[in-house]
Amino acid sequence: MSQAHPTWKSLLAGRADPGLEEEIAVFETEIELKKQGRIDDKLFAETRLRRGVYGQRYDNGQRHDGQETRTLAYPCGDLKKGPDTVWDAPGMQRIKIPMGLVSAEQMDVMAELAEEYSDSILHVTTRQDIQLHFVHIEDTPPMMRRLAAVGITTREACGNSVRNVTACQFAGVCAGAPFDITPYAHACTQFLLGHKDIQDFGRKFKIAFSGCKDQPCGLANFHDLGAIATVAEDGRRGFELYVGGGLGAVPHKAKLLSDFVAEDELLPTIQAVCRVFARLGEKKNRAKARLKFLVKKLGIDEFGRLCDDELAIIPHDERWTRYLGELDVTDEQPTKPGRALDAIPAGLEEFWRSNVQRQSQDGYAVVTVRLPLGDFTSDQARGIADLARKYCGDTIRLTVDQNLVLRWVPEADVPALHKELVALELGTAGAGGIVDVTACPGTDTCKLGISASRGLARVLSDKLADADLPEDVERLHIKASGCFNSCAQHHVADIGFLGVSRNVGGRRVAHFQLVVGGQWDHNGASYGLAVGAFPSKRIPEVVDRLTQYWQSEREPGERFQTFMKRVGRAPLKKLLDDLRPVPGYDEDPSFYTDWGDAREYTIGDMGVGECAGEIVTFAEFGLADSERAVFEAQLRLETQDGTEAARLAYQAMLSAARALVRVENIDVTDDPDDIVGQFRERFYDTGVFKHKSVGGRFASYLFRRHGTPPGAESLEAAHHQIEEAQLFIEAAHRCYDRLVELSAEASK
Amino acid sequence: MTILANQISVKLFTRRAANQDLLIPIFHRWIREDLVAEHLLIDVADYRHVPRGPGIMLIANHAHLWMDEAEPGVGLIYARRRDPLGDLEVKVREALTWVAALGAQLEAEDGFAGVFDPSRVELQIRSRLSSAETFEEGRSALATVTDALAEEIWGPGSELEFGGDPRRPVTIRLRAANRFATATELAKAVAHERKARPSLSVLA
Repeated sequence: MSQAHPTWKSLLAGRADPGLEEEIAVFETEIELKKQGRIDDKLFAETRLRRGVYGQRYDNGQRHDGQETRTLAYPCGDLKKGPDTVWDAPGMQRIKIPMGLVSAEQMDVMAELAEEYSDSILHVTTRQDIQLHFVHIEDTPPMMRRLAAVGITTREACGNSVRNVTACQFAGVCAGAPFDITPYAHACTQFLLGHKDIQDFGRKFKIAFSGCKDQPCGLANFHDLGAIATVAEDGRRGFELYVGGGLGAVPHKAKLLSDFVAEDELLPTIQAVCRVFARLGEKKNRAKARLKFLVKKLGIDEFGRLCDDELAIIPHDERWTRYLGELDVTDEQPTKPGRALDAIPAGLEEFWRSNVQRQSQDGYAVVTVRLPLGDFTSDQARGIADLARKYCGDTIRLTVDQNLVLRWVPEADVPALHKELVALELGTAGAGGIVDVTACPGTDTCKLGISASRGLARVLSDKLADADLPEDVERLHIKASGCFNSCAQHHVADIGFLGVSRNVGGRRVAHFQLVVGGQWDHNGASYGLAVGAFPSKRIPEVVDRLTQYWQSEREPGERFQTFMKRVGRAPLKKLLDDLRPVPGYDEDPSFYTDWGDAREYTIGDMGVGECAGEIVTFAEFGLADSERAVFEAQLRLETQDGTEAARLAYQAMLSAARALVRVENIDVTDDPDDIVGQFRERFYDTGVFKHKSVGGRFASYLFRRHGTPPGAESLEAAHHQIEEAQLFIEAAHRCYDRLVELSAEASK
Repeated sequence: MTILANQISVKLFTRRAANQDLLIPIFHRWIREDLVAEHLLIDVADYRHVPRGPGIMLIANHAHLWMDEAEPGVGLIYARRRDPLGDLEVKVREALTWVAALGAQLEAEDGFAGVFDPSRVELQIRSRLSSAETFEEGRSALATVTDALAEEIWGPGSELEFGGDPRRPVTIRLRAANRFATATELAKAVAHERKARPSLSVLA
């Protein structure tokens, strides 16, 4: 053998766009400078985030093993890749896939990267990205180089930038859309990538394109900017533009900025929105820095006016319209002519019903490949690439419900394609249905995860797949987020879950807050409301009861969302209340571990220590009282009494705050001024009431509400206040746990 | 152009299906009790939902370990993320040592007694730091090393089979003479040849 040692840089020289190559070279230099201690941790962190190089759980070098927190003795010593982020700790590489559009060649390369740098698993996210986990930071430049060689950049996959631009997976082949939005989303991606006007955001910015209003695929209603295709009466193509949507801890529905932005005005209008956001968006308080807060603060009319003013002064850019001459750049070329299928073969009916959709082009179909929890192996990825080449002209699209689709499949080839998918173990039916549970990474890999959303999703999917469910139950959507940040979009699910934690008898128990009646279709049109928290191990039973209740009590043809809205929370509470209590540890210790984990449950990996101290009964009673109050607030909201609902939400926060104050001062009165004043002095100013990832913002909900004179409240405002109250109460629970821990320490 | 032999992985096949569920508490305990010497154990990843996937994976700093379900059969894979210094023979021997040793450790756990078939292994060079033209060269180099190791450890009579897809890592499957009954016996035989044995109790 010769002694030559090639590098990916030398092997791929000249294959990538020079701009991308330069970016990667700069990042490599920054890595070296960081290793020499010549770049600040915070700066380097933002640098790598802007390249999609993300952190993972335990990257602070600490891990709770079920009994205690231990240090992971990485060989890098004190070298960090960000504040409190150890250099050698495995991270995640997010790969932006604009519009979810992947070529077969790109899929082959990502399969290789997963094998060499990750765990041989590719993960599809709810924003049509691919994520690879357990990646070492020093492997990221060669990864980026190999991606660049096939036309993929990871630039601005994370960080305070425009993230991946998503688009509905049926764009261009769907009869419901007036035109194919793919080239417009592509133009938007290209235009904004690295644009100077998006470099000064205080937070991330997410854009989605949808071909129509009715279907869910584009989810324009909860993005910072959503564009829905429309055609003017004179035949001009354009878009309805929505701004200020977002899920996260408190969901906001996007507001209509314009009911028609012509195609030649699309890019400058988006640019104007970005400039207003960069100029006026919050920069210091990250919790208030998303566009939704700016739109709410200004009101949509004023925001629109500012955008118009901005539009008038932006220097002209020929790229605004140059792309209109190249709208065919994203056109796909089918491999074969269309050919109808005479009859669906026996055995294919279920798959056809759930996974196949006829295209608007005669004789073609779109086949959805259901990926369990969005995961597939490198071998499966190569298999998919081969199927794309064979059946449909090379392109594959990822979807926001963590699957992928093969388009332009001749209908007559679907049976053969299905057979090949089965051979790859990718031929299961149920795509987009109740067995196809969406979940964010949760406690598997995310530092913010509170409960095991993937573990829950796995259990639910298996259980529901074995059940003999009516067809309409099969079509429900379940989504599970690991925390309140909503990465699995639980707010728009029929049945949604977000991870929370409870202290039971001095031990931590994983729970999920149930959210019902969200609306997935019509671009994620409306959000469900929280019903209450249930132990993680009871969730399968919760799902069973909800679906059975709907089946038995609904009016003929009544949809799940409509039903939930009609019946309201009181009957749901009655239906599910007996599922809330947690058995004692000696009675059933399984409740004290989370799904898929052998360790006793803890949120210690988020930085809060395990509690083994004595229960402070006044605090627990007070916290339970606060939850009752917020439930009553929700009931008032259902009766359209926004003012009373808001008042009760405020009362709920006061209850929780008083519960904590009483731990230190049993003489605290019922006077709100006294409660808030003592809470501020004893818990906020001392730093005790802090949530690790969000600072003191939950306390600010109480302070702001206390400082606002009472008055009439709209339903929307009341809704937000209820959501904020729930978050404050969650934080109060965590604060209480901390007090118990401190008490236990003091008593040793 | 030369294959730079990096990221060696070895798969030790099983005689029967393995219960992935049992690996969750086992791997978490290995982490808690620091039962894999010379490795920084980090976490356990659960991919049971992925058909023919990695199942339950033990994540360590420079290697991963998992009971893989991909074709041609179930087996314990030990895959280096960072190779030790040395030539291809050193790297392959190292990976083989650890998969056998960890297989032996797993055999001592409830539910895994006698699960392994120590006469069948699959070796891979997972890194593709080469041009396509050197795939054959890499395969040839790996075959030479494997052949020599097989003779040394298992004795004469081994058969080698090559993995064919050039998109996949360079792959060789070995079916050796049936000299060992368990992974423990294999591990002791392999370790005998190392200058330092892995510090695992099963090899004591």
